Amino acid sequence: MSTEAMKIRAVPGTVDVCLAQARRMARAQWLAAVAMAAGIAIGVGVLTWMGSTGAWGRSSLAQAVGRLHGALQVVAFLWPMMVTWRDEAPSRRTYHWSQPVQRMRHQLVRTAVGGAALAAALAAGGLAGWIVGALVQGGMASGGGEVFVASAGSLGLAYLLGSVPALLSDHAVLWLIGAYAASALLMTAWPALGWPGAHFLEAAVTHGRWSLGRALGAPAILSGAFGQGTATEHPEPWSALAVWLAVAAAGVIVAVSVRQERSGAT
Amino acid sequence: MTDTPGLLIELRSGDPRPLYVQIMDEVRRALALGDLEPGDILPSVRSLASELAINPNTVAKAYRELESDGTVRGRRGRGTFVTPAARPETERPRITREVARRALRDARRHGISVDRLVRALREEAGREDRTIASMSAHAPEGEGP
Amino acid sequence: MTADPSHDAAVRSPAIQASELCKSYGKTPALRGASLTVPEGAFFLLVGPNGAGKTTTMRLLSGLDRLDAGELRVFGLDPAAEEARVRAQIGHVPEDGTLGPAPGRMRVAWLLEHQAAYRPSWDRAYEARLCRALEIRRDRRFGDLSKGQARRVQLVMALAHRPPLLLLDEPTDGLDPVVRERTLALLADHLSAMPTTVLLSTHHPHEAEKLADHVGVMMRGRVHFQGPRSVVSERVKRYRVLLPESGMDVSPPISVVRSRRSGRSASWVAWGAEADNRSRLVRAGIEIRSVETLTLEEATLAMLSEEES
Repeated sequence: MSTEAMKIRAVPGTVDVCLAQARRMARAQWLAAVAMAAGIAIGVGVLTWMGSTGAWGRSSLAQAVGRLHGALQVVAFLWPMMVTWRDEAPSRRTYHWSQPVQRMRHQLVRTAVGGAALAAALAAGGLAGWIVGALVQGGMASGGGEVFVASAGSLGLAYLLGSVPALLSDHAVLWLIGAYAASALLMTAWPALGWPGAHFLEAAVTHGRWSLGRALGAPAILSGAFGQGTATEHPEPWSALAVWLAVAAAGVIVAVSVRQERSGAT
Repeated sequence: MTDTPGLLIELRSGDPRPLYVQIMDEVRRALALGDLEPGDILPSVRSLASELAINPNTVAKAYRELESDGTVRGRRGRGTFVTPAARPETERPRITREVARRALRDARRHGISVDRLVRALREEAGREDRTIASMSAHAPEGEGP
Repeated sequence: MTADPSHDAAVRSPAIQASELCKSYGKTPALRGASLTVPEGAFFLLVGPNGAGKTTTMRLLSGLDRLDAGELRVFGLDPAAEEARVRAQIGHVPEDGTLGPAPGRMRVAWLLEHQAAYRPSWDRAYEARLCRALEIRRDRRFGDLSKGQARRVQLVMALAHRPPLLLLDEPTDGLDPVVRERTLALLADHLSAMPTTVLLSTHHPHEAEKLADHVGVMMRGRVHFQGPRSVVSERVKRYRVLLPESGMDVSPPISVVRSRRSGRSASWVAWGAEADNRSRLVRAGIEIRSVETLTLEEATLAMLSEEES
């Protein structure tokens, strides 16, 4: 018997795993990424064109991004479900889990790679939009660098929040819709019913300095996309972003550590 | 010394003998018939295992057993060779004993005594010879071997 | 792992050591205290009916499910604590023929490339040989493959990186007889190239009979028998006997697993050393017509039917 046979096989390195997942995502989901990028490019281009013809004045890319932000948020929320974990809801994730990588780590890698794909699509779309806008307007106004940072942060937040149901549930879309509906209901019902703590709830979720609404709406606020009103109330959304990014990251880590086994008979 | 010996091993699925014993018997049979000669090389463990779709350990065991009773000898890196001592004259008695043992076992199962068996063997042999002779006598012309 | 210089396989630490494994899926118990020992380099055939717990055992070995109770070691490693390292030693062909949700649009060649990225010991040349031998079209999309073709791809995925341990869960299921034979020949060839420990579960013991040197019989979540093949051949035989006129209804003096009777004749498949059983039968006045060895399939069938009754 040769000792060659008894050699313990090595585990793949983290870099190799990341690359493998990136390659896989590129092959499997390139269409989604391209569509996304094209959508952004068109959106930015259109908005910039409207800006040059309408009442918004010559806009910068930052302003266009600020206006597009709502749509981008929706995409970022849905990206985990529709791209990162497409066709691989927890009940169908056995192949992913049967690789020689710690389950928790493997899911984190995939989440990160998915986020990177989203970022790449956004960047590509933004660049293309900038070019279109510049052509339409004959040059784009500069400035608003902090808008891009805020955008990255809040879209990242949306992506992480959307990752939690995608990691845990076979019906992520129901969870997302349900969470949105529940919170909307809560926000309207709670103060209407005069329950105590309504003020606190508002502060935490919609208007407060540390609120989720502030975190998600950061780019819009900063770019003053919809007028200057909201920008003067609470000048900076960074604290909200930081807090909620931490919360969402913690949520993702909890989600990947939950052991999900196949239930049912052999 | 031949490169490709006339050794064709067939394993029977219903055979009660362990696989390695079957392989050993087939090697001995080839020796007894003269298909294998002293100095011939046996198929490698790997090729035989692959061809017969059996565990290579089984082939290795058969070769080890054959080596321990002096029929073959393994030379490192070169293969397993038939020893000069293994000649039809030495193998035939061994095979004969095996065949006899099998016949006795069968006879016992059917409650046939040794004497009856021997008598029946002689009668059957004679009958077979006569049948073969009559078949050759009636064979059409021009059919060569 | 003990550092024993002896080359006796029984003394070397086993590839798989499982003690009293318990696992339930919800309310359904799949394993109720199953114990299993697979020596290094052994070809272990695991036989048992549906629901016996064979697939659950393999999933636990791969770290895909977690134990409820019991202890499990693969090459001395705990699949729950070191899941990545354990899975790196294993090539697993799972029970279901599909490769899970790998996107149907992916081509087989890409799938193999993806798998290769996770297995540093992947042998591309061997992969190509295996694909040729199993007639796998590498340009076909995975979603277009039939069950049998998907199974063959799974085999390549498990074999191409030459893992020290192969877990094969009904690997020839869904394959036609010609491909079955070719698969078994491939396995034999794979073993010759490098000593590998194999745990193969099947409904058809006769198929892997020529490859197996260890056998385990599993039923209802427990392993009822396990050991080297030679032990089965020596300890389970068919005794064809003639019962005495006076004591036809007497219960057999040997431990019979399967019995057939007609008049005074009986055919008993029984446990125990032959010499032992012979003396017992003689003492009971029972005439022995013949003692026959059984094929692996006959022996395992007999053991399975005993547990049922």
